Amino acid sequence: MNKNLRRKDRLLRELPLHFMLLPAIILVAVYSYGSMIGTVIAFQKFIPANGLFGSDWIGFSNFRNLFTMPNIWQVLRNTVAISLFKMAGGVIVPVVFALLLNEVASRFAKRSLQTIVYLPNFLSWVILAGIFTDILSPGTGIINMLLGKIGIQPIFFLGSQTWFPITMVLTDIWKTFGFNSVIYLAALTSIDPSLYESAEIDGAGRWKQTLHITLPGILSTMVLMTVLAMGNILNGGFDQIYNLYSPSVYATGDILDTFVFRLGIQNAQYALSTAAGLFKSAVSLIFIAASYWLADKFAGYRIF
Amino acid sequence: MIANLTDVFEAYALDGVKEYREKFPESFEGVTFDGKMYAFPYMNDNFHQTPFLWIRDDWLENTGSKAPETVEEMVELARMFKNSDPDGNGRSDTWGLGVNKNIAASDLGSITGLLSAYGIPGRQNNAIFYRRNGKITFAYIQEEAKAALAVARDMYAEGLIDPEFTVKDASILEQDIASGSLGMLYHMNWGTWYPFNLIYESDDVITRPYPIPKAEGYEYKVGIEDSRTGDVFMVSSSCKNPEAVIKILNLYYNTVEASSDADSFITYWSDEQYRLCPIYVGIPTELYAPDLFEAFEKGSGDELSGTAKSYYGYVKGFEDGSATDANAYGTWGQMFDRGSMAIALKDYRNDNAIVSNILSNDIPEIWLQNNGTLGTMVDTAYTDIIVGNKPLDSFDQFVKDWLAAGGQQTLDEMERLYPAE
Amino acid sequence: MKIKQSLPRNIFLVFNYLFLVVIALICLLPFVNLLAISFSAKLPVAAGEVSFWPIGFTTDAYAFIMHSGAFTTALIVSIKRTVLGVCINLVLIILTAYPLSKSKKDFRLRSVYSWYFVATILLSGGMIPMYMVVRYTGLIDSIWSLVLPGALPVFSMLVVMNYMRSLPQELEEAAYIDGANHTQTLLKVILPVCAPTIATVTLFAFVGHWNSWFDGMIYMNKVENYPMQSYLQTVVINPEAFFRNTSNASADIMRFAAMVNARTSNAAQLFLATIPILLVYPFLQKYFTTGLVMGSVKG
Repeated sequence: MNKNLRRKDRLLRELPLHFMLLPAIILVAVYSYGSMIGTVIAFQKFIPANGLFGSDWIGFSNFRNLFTMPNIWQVLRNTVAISLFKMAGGVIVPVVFALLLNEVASRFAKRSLQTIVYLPNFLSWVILAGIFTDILSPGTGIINMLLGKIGIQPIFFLGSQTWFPITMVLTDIWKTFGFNSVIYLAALTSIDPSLYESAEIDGAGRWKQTLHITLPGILSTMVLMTVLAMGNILNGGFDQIYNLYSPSVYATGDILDTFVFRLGIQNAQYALSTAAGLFKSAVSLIFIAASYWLADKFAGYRIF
Repeated sequence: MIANLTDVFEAYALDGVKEYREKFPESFEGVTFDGKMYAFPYMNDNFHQTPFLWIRDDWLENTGSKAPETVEEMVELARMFKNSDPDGNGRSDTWGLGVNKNIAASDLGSITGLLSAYGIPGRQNNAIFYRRNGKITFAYIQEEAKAALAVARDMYAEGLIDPEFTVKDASILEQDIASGSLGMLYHMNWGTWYPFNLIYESDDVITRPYPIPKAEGYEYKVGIEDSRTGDVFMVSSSCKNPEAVIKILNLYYNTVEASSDADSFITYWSDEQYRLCPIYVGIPTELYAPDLFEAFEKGSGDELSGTAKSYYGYVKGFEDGSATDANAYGTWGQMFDRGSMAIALKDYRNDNAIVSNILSNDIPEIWLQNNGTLGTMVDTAYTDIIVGNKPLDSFDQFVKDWLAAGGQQTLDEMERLYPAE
Repeated sequence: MKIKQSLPRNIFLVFNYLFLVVIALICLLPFVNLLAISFSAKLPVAAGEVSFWPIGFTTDAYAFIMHSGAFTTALIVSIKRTVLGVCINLVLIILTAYPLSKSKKDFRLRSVYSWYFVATILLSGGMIPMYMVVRYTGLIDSIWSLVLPGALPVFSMLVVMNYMRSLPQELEEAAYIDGANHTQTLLKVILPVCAPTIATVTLFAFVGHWNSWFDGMIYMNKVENYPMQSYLQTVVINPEAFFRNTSNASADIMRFAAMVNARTSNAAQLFLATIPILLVYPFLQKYFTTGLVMGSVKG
């Protein structure tokens, strides 16, 4: 289409595109790239009054200090453990739900069920924390009330070191499974119906069909979603945990982001917390790069 | 960036205001660098910032008890509050002792009062530092804390303390107080101002402070901040007329401190209008408290002036029912002859129980960096022991961890910064 | 898909249906509980008696909130920031996605620009540096601090960009032949066809802004400037921080709150804050089930 344009015409044709990009470029430059420059304080003995470049450079000292802080390894362990369980649950539960929902014949029923299960995903963790703190309370919460009716002693979900991480994983799955099932439902519709027909003719029941046709058919999507989630391995869920945790569960519930938040905002250790942020970015970058490479190789998936 | 106030202060301050410098040299030490004054201290009553045991009058009466003087008696009282239906409503909806999730804070429901009974002068989870046997040490790593923690642990195990305390901060405790499920808590001196005013205003319930119960065989100690640290106000160096600040200070002093006019006192101090302007000077209690207590004994406040006279009016007014404004109950709780001020002055001070924090303006590097995480260690270690997550002996490991995580370094550094005299 | 309708199959279908209904109820019941508490009297709530139906029906909690002023102030801040934020997001998303959706032949610097934007997903400064930038640009305590730092949600932009790329070439070519320039092509030809994906990213932008609480907490020094979720975070979850900062006028509110019983007033506030989402997302459901999927899971 453009082979015959002269250079000047080409430039004129492209110019409006550059202008269209301009506002976004400026804003991203100021805020996203601007804040990247701010990470230099991770390498300084940072004194806020001296501005960004006025403090002494101390190389990787802050990083060394970070990893000798008490509890840092426990915090990292908690983060990875909680993330891994969330990832596992975040694939298995939506898949199971999608498979079961798929068996429902009535379109109306399907749509209604979907509308309901999407709801938790759209609510903020502030609201959900308010709700869960209430319903999980050992004294007056409804969950323990119901447990009591079947003879189980009250469980202090948010205050017990054993139960807290479990509660975090379960409530996160509760929040996201509905929405995450969308991808799998879409993948289900892309499976060739003739496969089912031939299996039917061969005498395979629904269960066998699920095992041998459906699951392999969405396997690539499952792997894809898992791989894409790897970049989040050090996240753990700040919004959720910050609003639900307390010092009594730090041992199993404190994650990197909450630890760094207290360090940076409550104890004004700006350089240390920026160093932690950099570390986290670096690790995430490695994971994301690896996972996108894997996704491309395995499933031919590219984001752009 | 901050103005040097020395000259302006010398030139314009009233003699009465200048007198503060003579009477409270430590407070001014904190704002003076190289001989120059850079800020003005508010003169907080540090020695008043100590824990007390607060108990509802009606629960005490309904269970036929008297105020506990020993820790054992306090535990027994907690038992009665939990089990004997002190609010008389037929439901088992009351707890023995209210506890805050921030157990080592200086706040509603913290257990610093309990620790104090065993000689631990604790104040916040990162204070205080003091000398013991000639060496600087930190309150929360003392061996005696185990005894205090054992008491709390047993109380928790027996169900006298709400198991949900680990997620309840002071505001939620306030709600529990307002709804009538708590009747005994350790708290600071302002209890009648807040939160016990809630139940006074809604149900005419009086809650009053008592000296912290003692533990047999231990000398009790309460920890306070050093007078050199406290709130101050400063003037920006770009202020064109800093003498105006001093003049406002003078005006404040004349209106509130020096005059006998009760209305001014109420307007500017009691009703807290002073908070509208950052330029003011607090009124240290030692200046007027002795006069006030003498007046109580004599039974007449006629010879008093200034602050003392106003306080006398409030206390008497509350006791005979003639003072009905909201400030009456608040003031009474602090100023009556067995109020928090009296307890701090007569009991704590006279018993030599008050221990002041050595750490003031020179802060060790390592402490600046690690005090947050060290403080969290105190909170989690103590909580773990109280709720039974860890055995009592895990305390020893906690002390080792605290020292290893920068605590020992801090103590060493402090020996250097604050040499013994 | 014809399946033999045998007895085991039918039993399975019935149980499946019941199971799914239970799952849906599990998603719904916490809100029913919340709603019930918000309409219940103080004592039954404190005693833990309220489950899915109000006991001692009363609208006191809602009345208290309407009078408190703090809730409505926060609500207005949230509405302002959401409207402003979503508009800016959409404008920037569309203006950015269109050029980037062009092929390399039509737009030679496309890859350079793409990497420029994608790099910001991979690397970020973090909380403290971002705070410093926001402060240097004078946005502390300003509503723009909630809108400008995240003005271009890159992931949403990529979704729209992919969608635009998947459109048939002929659309654009026809417009070009008719003499349309880029702006006209974008507005008159491309956009109308992109409705599903635009609806999807609008929903996400709306939800993102409405639910955002951390930025309000960090960038606003005055409680009057808090958006709804930051306000709720302090009042419901972390009341200590909130109440220690208020002036004496709020002391009256604190006393009032003690009498109304925080659990009911919290429940009422939480429920009110949920209503906008409840009203919006079901209507956009059909868009994101297709628009999102098509835009992303594509070879």
